[in-house]
Amino acid sequence: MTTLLQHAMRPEMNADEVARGEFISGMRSFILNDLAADLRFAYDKRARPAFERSVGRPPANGGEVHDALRGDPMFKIYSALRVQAQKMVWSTVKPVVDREAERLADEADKVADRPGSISLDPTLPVPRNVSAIDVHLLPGSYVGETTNLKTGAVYDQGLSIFSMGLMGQNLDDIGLSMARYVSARYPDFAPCEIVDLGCTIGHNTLPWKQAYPSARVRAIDVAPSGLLYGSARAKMQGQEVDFVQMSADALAFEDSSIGLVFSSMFLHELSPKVRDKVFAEAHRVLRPGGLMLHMELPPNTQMSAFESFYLDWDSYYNAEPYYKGFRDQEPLDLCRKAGFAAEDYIQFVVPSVGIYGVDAIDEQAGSDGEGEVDTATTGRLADGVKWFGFGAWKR
Amino acid sequence: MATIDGPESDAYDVPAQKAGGQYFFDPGVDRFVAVVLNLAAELWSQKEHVRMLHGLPEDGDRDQDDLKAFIDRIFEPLRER
Repeated sequence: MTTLLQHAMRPEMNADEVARGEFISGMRSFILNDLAADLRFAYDKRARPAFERSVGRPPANGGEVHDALRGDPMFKIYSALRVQAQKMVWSTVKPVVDREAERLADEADKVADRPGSISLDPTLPVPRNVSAIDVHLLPGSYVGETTNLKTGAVYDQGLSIFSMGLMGQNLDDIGLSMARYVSARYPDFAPCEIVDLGCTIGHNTLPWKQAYPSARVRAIDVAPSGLLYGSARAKMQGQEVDFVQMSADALAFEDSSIGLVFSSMFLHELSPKVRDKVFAEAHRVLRPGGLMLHMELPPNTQMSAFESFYLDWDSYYNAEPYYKGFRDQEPLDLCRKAGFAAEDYIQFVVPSVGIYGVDAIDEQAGSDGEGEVDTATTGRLADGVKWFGFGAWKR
Repeated sequence: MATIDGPESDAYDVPAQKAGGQYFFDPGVDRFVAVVLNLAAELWSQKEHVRMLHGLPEDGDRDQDDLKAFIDRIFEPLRER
């Protein structure tokens, strides 16, 4: 699996930079597989027995597992290496993008007239929970330099190294897998208007245009730099998508006007208050028969205590302060609170199209079950890669 | 990505740590972790240079195996079992 992006809108890396990227990706794989297994071993061997001796029962949730493990040498080794590898993702990519910025801008200019659009709103303030936090330890977070392509390019190439090739050559595996599942499971569903919330660079937006070519697809985000890059990236791939600077909790769409409201890895970066507004807005803008669908991290209530801790590690140490709070919530409750009916709620686990192929998704979509959400199927300790999705139909 | 609101009006669920935290009692150890990783990355880069100088062809699967073996050799002392 390559850590090099395969689309035209990518920075050119020299041999040293490619090697560094490969090393960091390999190091992340070592940490997230080998050291993660050792961390589990240390928990079973030392941390859990010590907790049980002290409290008289095993840890009941992720927070208690965290308390039990945080003094263990294996936890310190795992965490220190993982944080440093994360920082190296960005420190490796940024000089490449700085060097390539002018060429990328020239490439973007060449495709500016292709179908698709970008609409920025300079009056829209970038919220503090985006600007004040170096999310994922990325200096400057998603905001960075707001008038050029650099931040989007750093995110794109950085995510490619970060994901160890597991998100596909265009980082679109989530979107491809989700869109394939929806189109296979609900063949009569044909949305004319699709909106992707918090799209960053639109990498998971494009598959929806491919799945529903006649639909108008809009990708929205509050950070302009990712939109600038994402629009050029989409045009270079021949995908007609409208990128709009807009906040997901104040959608500039008419009531009952949208067929599909989608997001991927977005909700866990919102405060609870904003999250509620986003769900309410999705319910408002959806047409009757429309679908709200979110690809996200699985909820803690459906995971083991250790797996909950393991996924919530990012909340404590990867500058994702809303991550655990989101995972502590019940997805169904979020939907119901926004006005969706409980019987219209859906959730599923879909196999990665890049790893398992289209047939596996079609088989999943055609089966009676929608995929168990548990430690064996979902999360970083599971075999393979599968994506958790949930949402609701609007009546 | 996120929307309006922020730390002043809506508290974080857990404290945001810009630097990623400190894990060892002596913060110097955390710095040495960074140094070791940086050195290993540079060494891998040099190994790739040598491979190219010897004219060895690229082979994705074998290269991945080589990288895995390289990392395993360097970081083996950290393993629990």
